[in-house]
Amino acid sequence: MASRSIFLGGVAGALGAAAIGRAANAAAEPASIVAPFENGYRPVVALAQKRPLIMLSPRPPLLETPFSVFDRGILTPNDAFFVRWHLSMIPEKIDASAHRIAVTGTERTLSLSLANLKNDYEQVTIVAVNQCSGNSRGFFGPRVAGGQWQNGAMGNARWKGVRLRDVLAKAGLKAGTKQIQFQGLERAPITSTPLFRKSLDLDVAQNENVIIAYEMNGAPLPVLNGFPVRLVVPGYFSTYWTKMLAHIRALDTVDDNFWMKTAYRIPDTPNNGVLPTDKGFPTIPIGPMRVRSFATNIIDGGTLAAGNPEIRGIAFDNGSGIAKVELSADGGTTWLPTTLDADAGPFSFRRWSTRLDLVPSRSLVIACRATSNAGVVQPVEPVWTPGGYLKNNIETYKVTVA
Amino acid sequence: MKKRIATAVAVFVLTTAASTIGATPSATSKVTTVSLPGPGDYDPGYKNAPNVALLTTNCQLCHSSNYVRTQPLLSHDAWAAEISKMKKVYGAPITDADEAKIVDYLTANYGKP
Repeated sequence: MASRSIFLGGVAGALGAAAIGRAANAAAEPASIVAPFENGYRPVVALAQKRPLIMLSPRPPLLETPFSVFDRGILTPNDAFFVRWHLSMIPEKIDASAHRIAVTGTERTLSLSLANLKNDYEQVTIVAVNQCSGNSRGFFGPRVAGGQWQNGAMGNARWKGVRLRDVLAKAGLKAGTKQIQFQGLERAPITSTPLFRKSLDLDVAQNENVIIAYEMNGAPLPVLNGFPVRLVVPGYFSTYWTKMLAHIRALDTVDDNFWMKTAYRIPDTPNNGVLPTDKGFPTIPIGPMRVRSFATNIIDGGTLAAGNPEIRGIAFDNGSGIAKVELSADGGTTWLPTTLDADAGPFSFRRWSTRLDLVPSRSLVIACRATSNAGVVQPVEPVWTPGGYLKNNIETYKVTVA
Repeated sequence: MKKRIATAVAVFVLTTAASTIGATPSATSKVTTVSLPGPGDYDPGYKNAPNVALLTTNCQLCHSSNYVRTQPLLSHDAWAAEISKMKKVYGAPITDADEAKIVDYLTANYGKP
């Protein structure tokens, strides 16, 4: 096979663009990249049902989507969709027809097959962004421990399934139900590790947009994205989107298991940020995503052709939808409008584009800034959280015009 | 500079071609089988230094060395907090004596003073 290089740009860090690795043959000699931060070396590897992706870890698998994928359309292909598991024993052989979802803690106990889901409930589809809570953690300053993602721990897909609230209605909720807990099939090699269980407050779980999905972009889910069924919680970070969903429990108390009480928490402050030196502040479980926008056809440290180049990208929030995206060619001093593409729904990526008039030999800082329909604007300064969550400040791209 | 953009466009095409790699489970097949990396697969392992065996024994049980090697250079206190979490929260079977040695190994090889 001829040598090929894989374009893995889209880095929005202050330290410059990602180095680009080279691969003669993806299987024998993986390409690699170097993210623009300490210990940024990453092999690019094709694991089960996936194209070559940026590998943070083989076990449990953590795979990041190369940012160039987001320039190709608002739906992220299944084989390019990011992957993040917590526990390393993941079923490798799944009989979808034998899979069951237990529903307990309700008036009636249910054991749902895929056939039940497809035959007994209204079928719904929704386009929604799935973003890891720790997306962009590698760009935190000061750095924090955790999965060191660039900006590709996110994706947007058309999910098909049934409403969780319809399933809960069939099971019958008991008076006093406070939260709904979700558990998948992943297990740790040692039994002393807490099972990965996540819970949503009842009003969130009952939202009409929350679905149990068996299809992603018109195909079965990839195993690494939760085949045969996963929870889809539009507007919420991915930690609640339980993969290989196997158990739904109605709880009459607030879930105090490790993954709710200790992990995946954010400061309970006005903007949910703190100073790195702060201690002793109260925390709450992470929840809705924050408005973000990215350019997808330029990279930090890259070049642009002089003339009238198109700049384009994506924006999303947590379900109000995108009102506008503005572009700056002077580092954020002045802003120009951009054109929004067709709307695929308020939880989807929204494409934006505009053209700039550029003369050669200038170095520019391009910035993009989204405003949601709820009136929320991306901040200039990043929010800092101890867990490396919630980064959504305005992205900047230093480019040379030639 | 136009050349660079042309290169990027060409590479976009290659990325598209790469999308054909990897099977998608058929909608009609009942059993879907994949092969996921096991212990040591795609894993370069830890730096060979005193006490490295404590890491291959204790840490690799549950996760790849990539979990460590991709972190920023952490302080002794930050590594100590991580190992304490692995022990107390994730239930890693690490003795107190080994815990101190593992923290020292990580600080020396993947940390900063």
